[in-house]
Amino acid sequence: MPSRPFEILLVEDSPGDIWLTREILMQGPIPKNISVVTDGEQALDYLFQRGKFSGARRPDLILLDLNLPRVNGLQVLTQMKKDSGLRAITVVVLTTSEARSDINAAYDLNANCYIVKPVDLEQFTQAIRGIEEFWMSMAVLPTTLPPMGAEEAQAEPKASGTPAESNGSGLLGSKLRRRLMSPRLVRYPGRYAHSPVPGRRVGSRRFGGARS
Amino acid sequence: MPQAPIDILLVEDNPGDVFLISEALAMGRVPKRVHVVEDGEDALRYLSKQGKFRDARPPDLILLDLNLPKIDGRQVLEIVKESRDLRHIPIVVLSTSTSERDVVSAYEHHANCYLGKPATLEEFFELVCQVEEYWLQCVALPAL
Repeated sequence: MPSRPFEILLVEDSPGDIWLTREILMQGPIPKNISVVTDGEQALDYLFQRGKFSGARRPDLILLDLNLPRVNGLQVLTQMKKDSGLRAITVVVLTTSEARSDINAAYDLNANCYIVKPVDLEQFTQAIRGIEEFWMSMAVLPTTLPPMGAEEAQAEPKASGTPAESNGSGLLGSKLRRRLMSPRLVRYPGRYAHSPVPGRRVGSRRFGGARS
Repeated sequence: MPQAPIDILLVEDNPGDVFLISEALAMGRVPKRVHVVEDGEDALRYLSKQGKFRDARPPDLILLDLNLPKIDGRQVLEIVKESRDLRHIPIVVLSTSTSERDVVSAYEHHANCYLGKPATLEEFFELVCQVEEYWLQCVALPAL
């Protein structure tokens, strides 16, 4: 069992959504690193460890927007799910698109799940928390996969530079943070075992609304 | 979110687990129909509407045990995810095994999610409630 932080790759071009998603995730109970790339081309470079991303860490979870500059999210999904070294990485599509064609295409291309970004702040917060609780503490994810880009020839020269990364410093005011992040303990099956109280959880959750 | 009840195909051979999962799902607030089959062969028959499953409703979500009689859950996963007509259906694997090999293999074969069956009744119930909340309330499921 790894006692390492959970690695998240956020592929998102909207600065507001990047900020908010990162804030909500960093306030969650599970220690994590969040790397951010802002277009599909960078996402693929990151995953295949090309260029400045040669030292990129393999994500445990990818949060993927669909409407992205250069290479769109569905193309990113197609490329990575074709690669035997990458396809086991969980991809949560997180997008404003409610189009049935996008939803079906994403599942057809083996996205693990599709979440429509709620416009409402509180619901957005619930959705991100839901992702954290479900994928980072409930679901069992692969932990010992081969290094990324295994199928790609190791021809890329190693360049220096590290991906953009959040250090988790809180930017929200403490009051808003308290409101957004009311304390609750989630169940930890122990894969990402940093739980103060393993296996126990109190409080109730409602994903996607109905919270008064 | 679709207005119509969500159809869930539960592929599980253990009657106790079937009972528990059905009860926990029924507690959730999303209207749903749970269809139960007890082995991999029936799961595939259900999905391809063969024999007594001629009028079966295509499921919006599949809950799949791995260790099943006749045709193993791993094979069911592979067959469904290789089928053009079926592969969009999200498959949540529920298994007592949390061996890295099973987990990686399931994700490599495009399981949408892998969950370990907890040992205690209370935790198991809670897990299924979380599945209900996440997959039926938070996630947008495919709709054809």
